[in-house]
Amino acid sequence: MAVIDIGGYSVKALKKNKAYDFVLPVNCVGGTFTLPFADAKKLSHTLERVKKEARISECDLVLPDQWARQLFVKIVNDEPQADVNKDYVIWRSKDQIREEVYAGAKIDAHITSIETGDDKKQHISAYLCLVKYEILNKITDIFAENGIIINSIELSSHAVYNYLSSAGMLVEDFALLNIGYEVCTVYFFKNYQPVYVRIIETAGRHFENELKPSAAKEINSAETPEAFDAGIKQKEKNTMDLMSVKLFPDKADVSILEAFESKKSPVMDNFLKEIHLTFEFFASKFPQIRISKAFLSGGLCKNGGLDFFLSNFLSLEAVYASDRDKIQYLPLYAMKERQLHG
Amino acid sequence: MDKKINMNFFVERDSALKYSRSFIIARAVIISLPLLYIAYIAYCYFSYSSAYTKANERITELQDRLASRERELKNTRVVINDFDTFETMVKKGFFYDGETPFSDTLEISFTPELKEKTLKFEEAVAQSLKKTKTSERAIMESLFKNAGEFGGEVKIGNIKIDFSTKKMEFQMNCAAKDTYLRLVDNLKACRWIGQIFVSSLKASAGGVSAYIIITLKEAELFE
Repeated sequence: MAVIDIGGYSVKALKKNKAYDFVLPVNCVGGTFTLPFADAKKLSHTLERVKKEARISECDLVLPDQWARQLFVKIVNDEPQADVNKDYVIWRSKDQIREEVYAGAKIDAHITSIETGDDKKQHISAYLCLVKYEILNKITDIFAENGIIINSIELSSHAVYNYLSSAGMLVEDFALLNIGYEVCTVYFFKNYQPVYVRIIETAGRHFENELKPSAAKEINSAETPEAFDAGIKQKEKNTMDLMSVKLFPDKADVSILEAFESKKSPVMDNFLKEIHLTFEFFASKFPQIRISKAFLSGGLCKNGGLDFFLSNFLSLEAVYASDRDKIQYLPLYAMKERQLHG
Repeated sequence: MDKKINMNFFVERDSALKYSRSFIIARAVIISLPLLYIAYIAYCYFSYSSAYTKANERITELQDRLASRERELKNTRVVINDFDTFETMVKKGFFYDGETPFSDTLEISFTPELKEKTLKFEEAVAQSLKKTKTSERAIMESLFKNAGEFGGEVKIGNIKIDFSTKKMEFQMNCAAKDTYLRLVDNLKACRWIGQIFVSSLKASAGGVSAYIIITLKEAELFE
């Protein structure tokens, strides 16, 4: 069965080991958990191509991380429960989540630990994700209208984590930076389990807009397939321009570093500031955990130099989660492997 | 703990139902119904064709066997009892079609009285067969055939046949004496002639003229 990954930049598809990348029209997919949006007309325009070129009629779907609210809960039972499963955790967790957050959202859980403390009580830690029914229903309907049936829906970073796990690349404590087009998701893992997540709303699109500030204005706002295609071409050109620019220094060369320092880039400043703050916050919240390795994934990694730069910037070992030429397809490969191995 | 994070945010939607696997299967079945129907017709046609061919072969075989039986029957003597009705005879499988003489295929087990009658009947049949061979026409043909062997040397006229007295008379003129004698000898050999009398005979240089009277054999005569 095929896998489709909806990203902010494009819809990626994998069928029979062949990967496809269908760039989305401008302002097609975006928003956050609170206000997710997907333009039905524009997404349908892309899905028509998916259906026609990749000939997909059934798929497992991967959604962008920013459409989910990631939460970590701790549940304490005076009497240990023998059968602690997802449903039980979700049911118990609702006490700790505001109703306006979980109302109208589909919740799924991943149990990170079940321990019995010195107090003889059962301590359950879990990682919860919430996605609004509003966006799930809308996406399912748009896919159905285009003749594609969705069998399961997962989040992008989970798929990347599973890919690293299957590849045997995981270390006990590490960070995962999934730097996409709309957002950058930073996951922290302790003892292989997620403990903290932060979504930074500065990513590829912001660098692109900074590089070509007039690009957004140039794009035709008409709601026609021709206008969508023109927008896609413009978007592809802007991305190629961005990829040709060295955003991050890729070696310890004084002149390159000086040029990077002297270049005034509010987006870069904001991006680095957010990453720094995220790591600082994590270090203050979990002082006992020392993150020594960070895996990088997402489309912006194709720009290059990010591993070298972040290794120095964060004083840890930053490595790409895979070869850069296929890094944007990692969630697809992970989902495919899940299909094969159940 | 598990080193995989598996979550699923799948939602059931009516919109997806029409593209669900069951719907696709149902649609495929509906689309394929005409094809299935055509396939069914083709199957029936081939089955019928096969059965028809087999039936034809069977009929041919039976016809061959029947023909064989008929041939066999024609060479078989069928026993018919005197109390057999015609229907019984038919049931016994008597299919006489004229190729083989009736008497060759029929053996009759009759009572003595009936057997005697049958013998008389057979005799009568034999008599009637003889009569057909000794008619007036046969006598005349035989006479003129004997005369015709000498070409134009023999002339016959004033022929009279009287079956009641079993006599035949005619005037005969022959070109030579030798011809006359050979013709008389030839006539003596005919099975229907009893005796030959010459009532008058004139011989001259021009030939022999004779008036002949013949007595006919009764047993050989047709009325």
